[in-house]
Amino acid sequence: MIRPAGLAALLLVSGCATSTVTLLKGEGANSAGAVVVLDPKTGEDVKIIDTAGTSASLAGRSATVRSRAADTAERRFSDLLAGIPDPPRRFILVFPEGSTTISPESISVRDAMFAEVKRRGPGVTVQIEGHTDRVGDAADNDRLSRQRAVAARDLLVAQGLDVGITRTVGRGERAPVPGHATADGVEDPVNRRVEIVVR
Amino acid sequence: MVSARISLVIIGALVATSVSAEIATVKRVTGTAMIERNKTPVAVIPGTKLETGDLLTTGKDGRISVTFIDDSRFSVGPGSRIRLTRFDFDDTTHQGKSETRVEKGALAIVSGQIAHENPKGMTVQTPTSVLGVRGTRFVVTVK
Repeated sequence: MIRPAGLAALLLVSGCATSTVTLLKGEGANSAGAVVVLDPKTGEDVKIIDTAGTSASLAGRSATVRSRAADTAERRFSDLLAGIPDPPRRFILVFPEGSTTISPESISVRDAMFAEVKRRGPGVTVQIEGHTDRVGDAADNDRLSRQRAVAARDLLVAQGLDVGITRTVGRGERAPVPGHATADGVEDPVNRRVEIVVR
Repeated sequence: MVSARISLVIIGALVATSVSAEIATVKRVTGTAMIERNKTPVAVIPGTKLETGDLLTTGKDGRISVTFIDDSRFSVGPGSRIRLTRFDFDDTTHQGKSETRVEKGALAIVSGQIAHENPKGMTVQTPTSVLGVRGTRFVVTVK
């Protein structure tokens, strides 16, 4: 049972809530990107914040912007930023056509992948992602890439990967290896691959 | 009585992980931290799968680190209430929508595939505002 005075105090507190957003430097070599204050009703852009170190205190449509050095903002939130999980790491395995074993040159990559899973420890997950080249119809390639992912998962599980931390994904022909974007219908063995994302 | 309640929570967690509505995985937990799922508390440990609608709560000494299936990552600071209002992600096309509500506390975000693929795909709400995420690393606080 909340007494009226208590309720009023509660409303006052929520009415006075102050929200802020602070844009930080991108991770590694990535640029800072941007955060946009949106009109809560229309979703239109009200204010774009695109410089690392810039903060804005937020109230509906209004945003009061304050600039700081990017490093100052970084230090201010250092404990919070230290809690961001490590970036996912990708490993590319090549399966020779029609084969259920990985190619000899992929063995060291597979071993590095298992080492990364072990290094990350409790809470680690492994996404097994199938890809195709652009031979054949796009919908068929979606199916084929999913089958490729499931086959790779079964192989890795047989080699000791815990099935409970895995998920399989098919990306079809839409994500070629950099430098290997081809016209439709073109064969490219490099794109017939499985990417393992360790998160 | 207390132990009966705890075992119910554990059963709830087991049932929840058996359905594949997984959108994210807890990577690290320190201090007092909990998930509220359908108004029921769920214990949170590294490896706990999160679902749309989950409310992440931390005490004064609590922190939670989370990685989503689109590669976006959260660090939830002490004294926080963070609601995963919406998370739809097509892992074949990378199209999706993500909406997070910071009710209280502090949240650091590194955006992922949803924001990368669609500049209107990821939003963060606070009690006073709505933010559109165009990438990539930022902090939201609500006091």
